[in-house]
Amino acid sequence: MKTKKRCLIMYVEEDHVWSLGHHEHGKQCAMLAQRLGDRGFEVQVETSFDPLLDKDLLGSLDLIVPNQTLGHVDVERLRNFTAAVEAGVGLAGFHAGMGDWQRTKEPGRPGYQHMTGGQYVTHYGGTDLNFDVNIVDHEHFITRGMSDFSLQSEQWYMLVDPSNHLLATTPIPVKGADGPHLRNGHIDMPCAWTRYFGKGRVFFTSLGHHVRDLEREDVGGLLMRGLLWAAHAEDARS
Amino acid sequence: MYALDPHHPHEEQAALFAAGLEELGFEVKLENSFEPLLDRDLLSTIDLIVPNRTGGTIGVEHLRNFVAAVVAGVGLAGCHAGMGDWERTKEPGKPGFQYMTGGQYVMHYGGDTLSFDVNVVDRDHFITRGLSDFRLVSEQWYMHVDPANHVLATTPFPVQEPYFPNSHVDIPVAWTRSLGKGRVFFLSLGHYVRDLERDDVSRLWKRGFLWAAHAEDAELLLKT
Repeated sequence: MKTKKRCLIMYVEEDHVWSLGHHEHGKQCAMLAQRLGDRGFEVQVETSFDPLLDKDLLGSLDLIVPNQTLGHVDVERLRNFTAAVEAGVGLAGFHAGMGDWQRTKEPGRPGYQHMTGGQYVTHYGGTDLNFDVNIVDHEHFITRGMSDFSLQSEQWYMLVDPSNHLLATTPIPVKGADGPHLRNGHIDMPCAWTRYFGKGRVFFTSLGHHVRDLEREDVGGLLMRGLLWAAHAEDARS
Repeated sequence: MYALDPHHPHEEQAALFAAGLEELGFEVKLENSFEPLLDRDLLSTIDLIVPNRTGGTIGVEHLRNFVAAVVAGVGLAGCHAGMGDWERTKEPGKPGFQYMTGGQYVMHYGGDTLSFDVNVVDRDHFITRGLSDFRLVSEQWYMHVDPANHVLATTPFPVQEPYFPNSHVDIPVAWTRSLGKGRVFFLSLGHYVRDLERDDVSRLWKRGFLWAAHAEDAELLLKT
């Protein structure tokens, strides 16, 4: 009998930081917690990043899902976070919750972005832009059987780690989204990838600005399988 | 514009850049602060901005003026931390500093006297034409990059535990890009002044600075 996979979800509502209120982190986390629970995970949801101070807890986990916009954690939390993933705990997340915070780092030590493999730079065309998502690896557990799709949401422009294993990209430029980057011509911007940080598996997708995005079968399925893969739980059934 | 820092000899680097550009016929203004970014009249008269500091941030107004100047056509060029390891903050919803530079320092491994290769991947560009691959003993930068960059040179990172189970990767060390009407050049080399003084590395930054300033015709004045 296999023991239950353990997942820690940590979130901070955005209005605590910048009074933006762009992302519904609590709602997003509740949705993920339920889906992971349905697949046999034991899920702990916390409204702070203080669990990063508990090394015993971190050592017992299979997956960490961070979810906040901007802001940062302190040096000790960040060290424990990177150490846990390096030791084998999975890290997975989406959009701002994983890709748009903790830009500070300790000199000479690996920072947060070194784990995640990318960071938000900007987006053009608002939050309801029509754009395409193209699957570039059809063999991977996370994207197997998926078709290309279109989404009406935020299209992220990112800086990325060239060592990421790309699962999906989104073509830029898009009609309705102008910007000074367009002089560089057409690019396929990564929007879903896997990577390793030490022994830890890492999954990220830049999609999911709206809760309605996560409710879609394509985006929701992509994210769910990404979480399972990062936790070494590909065999989990609902 | 430079700011002093214990990790890098920014004043010496800036003086070296200034001397190199003056030899190439530029009128150079050297400032030990980023306050000139508040002077829009000044910004509109220049062809090239070379920032040089490590860590830290400038104010919102400084950054807005900086981005606006480059989008309007002022060139931006720089090396190592001076352009690739500061101003990580950004205004929500507005383009930040990394959107201009096309990359950000993530980490370096093996200390600051690692022997590593630099491979030229575009041999037809003004900046790298005639330049051969070379080896350097210095800091090898692991970076996040904008996929839209035009990559001129890369450096191979080996498969190395615990941080590189992602297999071999060639990390860009020199690139060009455009932001609006502005030309942008970045070089991740130059931790030491001695690096910047080498024929191969100085050839890269001098030509990169010329290109960003639309001053390729000063090439005739280049000694290397």
